[in-house]
Amino acid sequence: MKVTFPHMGTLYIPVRAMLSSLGVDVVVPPPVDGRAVALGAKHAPELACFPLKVNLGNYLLARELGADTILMAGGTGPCRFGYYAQVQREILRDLGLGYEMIVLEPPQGHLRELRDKLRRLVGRRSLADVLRAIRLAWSMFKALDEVDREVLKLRCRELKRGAVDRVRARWLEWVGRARTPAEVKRARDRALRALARVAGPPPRGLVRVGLVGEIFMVLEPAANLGVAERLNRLGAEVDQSVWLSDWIRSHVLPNPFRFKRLDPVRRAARPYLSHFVGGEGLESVGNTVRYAQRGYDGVIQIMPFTCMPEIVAQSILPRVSADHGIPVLTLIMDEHSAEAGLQTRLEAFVDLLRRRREKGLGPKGGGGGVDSKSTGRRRR
Amino acid sequence: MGGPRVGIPRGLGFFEYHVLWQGFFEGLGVEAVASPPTNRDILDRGVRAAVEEACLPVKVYFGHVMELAPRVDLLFVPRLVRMERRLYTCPKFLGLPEMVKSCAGRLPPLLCPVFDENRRGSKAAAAFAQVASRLGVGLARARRAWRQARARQARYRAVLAQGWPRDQALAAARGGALPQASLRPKRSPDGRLKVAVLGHSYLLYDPHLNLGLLARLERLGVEPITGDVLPEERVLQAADSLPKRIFWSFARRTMGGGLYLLERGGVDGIIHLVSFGCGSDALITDLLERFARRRGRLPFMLLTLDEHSGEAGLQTRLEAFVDMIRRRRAERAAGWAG
Repeated sequence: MKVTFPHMGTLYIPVRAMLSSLGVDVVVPPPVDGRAVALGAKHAPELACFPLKVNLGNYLLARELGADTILMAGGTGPCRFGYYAQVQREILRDLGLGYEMIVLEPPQGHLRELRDKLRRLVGRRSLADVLRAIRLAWSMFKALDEVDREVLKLRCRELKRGAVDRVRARWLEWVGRARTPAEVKRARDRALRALARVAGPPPRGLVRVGLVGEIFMVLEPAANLGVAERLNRLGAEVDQSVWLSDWIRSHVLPNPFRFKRLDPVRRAARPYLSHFVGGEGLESVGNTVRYAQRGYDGVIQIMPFTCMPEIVAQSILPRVSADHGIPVLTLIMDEHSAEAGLQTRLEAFVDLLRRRREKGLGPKGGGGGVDSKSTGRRRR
Repeated sequence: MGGPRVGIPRGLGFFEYHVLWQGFFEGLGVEAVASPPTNRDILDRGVRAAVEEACLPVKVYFGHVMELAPRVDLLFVPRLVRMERRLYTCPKFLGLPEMVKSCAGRLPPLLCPVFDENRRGSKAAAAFAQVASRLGVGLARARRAWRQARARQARYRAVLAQGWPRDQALAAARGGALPQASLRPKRSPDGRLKVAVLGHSYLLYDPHLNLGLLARLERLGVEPITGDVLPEERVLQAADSLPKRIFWSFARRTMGGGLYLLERGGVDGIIHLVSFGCGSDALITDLLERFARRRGRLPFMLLTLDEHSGEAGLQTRLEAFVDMIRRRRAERAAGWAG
């Protein structure tokens, strides 16, 4: 059995570590690139959301490397992600690829279902082994996000162009080689120290931008054409509201906000959206409010074309923007998005934020502006 | 009546629940008016108000809201979360009240009860009692109105399932008597072609949105069989034969209807009616097409509606589809004869 799984940012590092430490033969798909996107888009339903297509591209390329089993997450709706695996399985079947799929999701019937799936994956490993593997992966998830938080802040301050990314590349190697949570922590501290060394003071005209949106599109730079890095290079400090470790915290681990009213993001969203809508829709609204309250200069929402929950958020964000005087830019992306168009729009947006700052219209001054044109095609 | 006037937009959940909603307001003694059937103007206004990426049914819903807004004191925009246990409507239904508030301009106050059938209706009853209290109606009367409206809705559904047309089912639900069973329109006694039309009720029963699809089929000598006259239990069984249950109510019914017909036949073809931008159907259509192709027996056509759909294009496609079915039938008959 050779197991593969879809890419999403740095997800592959902890998942690969977890599976290999349990003796599973792992095939990491080639990094997402034009080829994966084109393959996925060719075989997926035209109006399916972009992440489904990219996943499919990953599977098809992993197949060439010998993978025969897919490990995938599922869900219970209403976001389409919960039904991805079902659609992907039928597509792969019609392509004549006898891929086996193991879908991890809240069991519909018995807990036994979930246990049987895990057994198929890891065989007769002891519970202690499994827990050790999970702890290792969890330490990686947390550390990867901690370092990337810094990267998004410091990249616009680097003294030598590319220095931050060179540190990051080394860090990804270190963490990939770590065998225990303690090693992960040591590597993280080393990476954070190295980052601090290559960063200088804030550049002139620094603006701060918050990123909200659908989790895959925010986390996978190859899918969003490197929005965060482009913003950094334009002299913007970036804060991302969606992180994998947070997602795991709220979806897999026992939820600290059992009383949902206490969740600060939901509370912030409440005047604008008082009910969950699936995916990250509610979070996109709530985090935009919070960015405004925390004095950010602007917010960018990233979503795949046709994303249901984010369309709800997109419809509501103009009100948030007007009430709080914070400009919001919605980027709708898919396989048709082009770099030149994106770059132009980001430059214009950062320019706008800078001019607002100079005029003293920064956070909480004057009216907001919303631009919600998609970057790629708008219609068929 | 001197009380407030409540407006009910004729879109989305309306086609599932208008009997329940109107019955409820009637029971409260509150005047409730539905917006007129969709027309060009309503559609255009909705399209202009909505974000471009919204699906056609949401856009037209905005149009209905704007049509009602100047003529009523309150707008009824319920949040339909789950119409049955563990199954969702869709994210846009879940965020509908706020989308309306944000996009549809100046509006009278909204009444937005959360309609969630996950827990045996208890939540919906409470939400509707709150609506009543905002209208100044006491709890006892609200409860009675809710019970009666529920009963009326159930009767409406039952009569529909027996194969009666919608206007007769509506009359029966309001307490009228049904004509004799023998007067019920018989299905194709004359060997007419039968084509199943599967799709969400807010597309199927909005003739402006679907460009009069059902009537067009009739004019081509085809009897349209809509998904809701298929035996419900068998349809749902067929849907749940998939490895994983579909978690959207509308999509599950569409899939179930399709699988049931692919299995059992009884129609000469299937038309799947979808709107551009419908997220769940983007997946379901793809699956259903695959299943139809694998069995390879029934002609299957996907009809996608958007605000630019033209009548001429639709007519041509329908004619070609029906011709193809007729030719197949003739070939089969000839094959048997030889």
